[in-house]
Amino acid sequence: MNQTKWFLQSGPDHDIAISTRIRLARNITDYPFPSRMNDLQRQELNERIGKVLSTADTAPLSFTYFDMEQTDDAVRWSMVERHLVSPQFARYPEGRYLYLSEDERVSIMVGEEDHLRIQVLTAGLDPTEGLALAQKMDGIFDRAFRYAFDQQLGYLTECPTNLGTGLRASVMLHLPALRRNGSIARISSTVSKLGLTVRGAYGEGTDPAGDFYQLSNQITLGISEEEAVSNLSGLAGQIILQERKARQTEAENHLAVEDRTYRALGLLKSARLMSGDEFLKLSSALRMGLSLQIIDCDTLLTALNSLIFDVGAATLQKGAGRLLPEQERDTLRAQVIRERLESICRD
Amino acid sequence: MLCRKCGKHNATSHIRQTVNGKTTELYLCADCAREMGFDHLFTPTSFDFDDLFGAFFGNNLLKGSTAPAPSAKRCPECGASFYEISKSGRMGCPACYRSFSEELMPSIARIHGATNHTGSHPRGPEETIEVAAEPSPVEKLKASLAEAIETQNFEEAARLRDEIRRLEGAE
Repeated sequence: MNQTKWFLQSGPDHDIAISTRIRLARNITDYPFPSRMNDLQRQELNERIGKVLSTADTAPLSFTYFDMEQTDDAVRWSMVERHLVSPQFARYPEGRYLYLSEDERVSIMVGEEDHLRIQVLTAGLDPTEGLALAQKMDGIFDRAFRYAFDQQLGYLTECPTNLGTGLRASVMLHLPALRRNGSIARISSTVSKLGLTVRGAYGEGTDPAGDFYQLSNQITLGISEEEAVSNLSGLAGQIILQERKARQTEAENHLAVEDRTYRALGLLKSARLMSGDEFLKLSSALRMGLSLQIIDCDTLLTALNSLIFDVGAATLQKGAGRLLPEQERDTLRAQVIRERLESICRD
Repeated sequence: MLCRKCGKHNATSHIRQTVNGKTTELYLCADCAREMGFDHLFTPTSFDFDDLFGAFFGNNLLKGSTAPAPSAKRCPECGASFYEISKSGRMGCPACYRSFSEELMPSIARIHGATNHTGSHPRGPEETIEVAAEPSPVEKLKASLAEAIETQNFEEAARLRDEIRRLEGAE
């Protein structure tokens, strides 16, 4: 299998669904939960997990190991920007360890809120494939350890909100038209009745940067993994359908949408300073124009999907190998974006 | 004035407490006051009101909090007290779920709208036996048999032995 980063691949409905994330929380009976573990226990747990992973057949995946405490600030925060680890995991690196697959699809966090957090990222809306891979990895550890499990409560987790399957499935959706026609609040209240939640993916509040939202399940007890994943797929599918309809309505004023699309492309291709927020905003407008085929260029969409993960502040600093003041960061971001867009879809 | 806890009934008790120099006042109805353990004038309490109401499991900590005070109860496995758990919203160890089952179940039901797992089960390492499995009837009888022999209750032991033979023969 190719080791291309997952976000360079295009998945189902990828004009609206950027990525799907599956996460399993697992604990081992031999230890207290992470917040009550001492340094020695954490190290021992990590050694045992490392051993299992190194002897298991994980092909075609190969894993790189990170002791988070020994890992650079920029590298850690870049992992957060790329959704490979949780912000908590980067903020408190002591006694925390990461096994990351080369294609960045699978990350195994040791000593996060639970002993093991198995996370799988896939492009587009594809929770079934993500779940299958997560369960394959889960099976490897299941054979090696006795998981903390209760017949009634399922997999036991440090926080009771993860009890049961320990499964959190989420999809990142780009919903500019639904945000503009004021539908997000209604959708949010509908999905919450069905045990799911919608949140802004970047930034807090009702107006998240770039109109990216995260739809995820909240309930983990009394629902099977397959049901949870199929609920997420079903609801995401409906939201995607509504977003497409709302886009069509907006597109009735073709000139306005066309203007917005080309303005965004123009700025992205020529700006010399670009803040993270501005990038998200412009890429939002350009993405919408692409999905309405105002500009017909699928590679441009894939490029935008990967740029989201490549131009975060920490990721840029990691690439530069040093801390960058804000203006230098914005200069570098503008440059990366220009170079990436220059080579594709010349019209 | 309405009760500050349930907001339904008239407050009949005014409770003023100073802990570590910090004074807190509460207006409670008779039922809530009893629930919180204020039915006896001199019942010592170790509750910190702010923590209590802000806590994840706050409501359940209050419910049924007749003696012994739940904050004093500890998990025999890891030593976490229910007070610590309710304050942080985090369990100390897997065994905490059993140790504090009674206190936790209402919150779990509220969070998930269900209390029974319907998803997958671990297979576990090959050499180990399913931990949480109920002992079989024969295993239970064998345990009773051992106990009967220990206490020299031979009549009972003979009866148990026959019962085990009968069950094992039927398998």
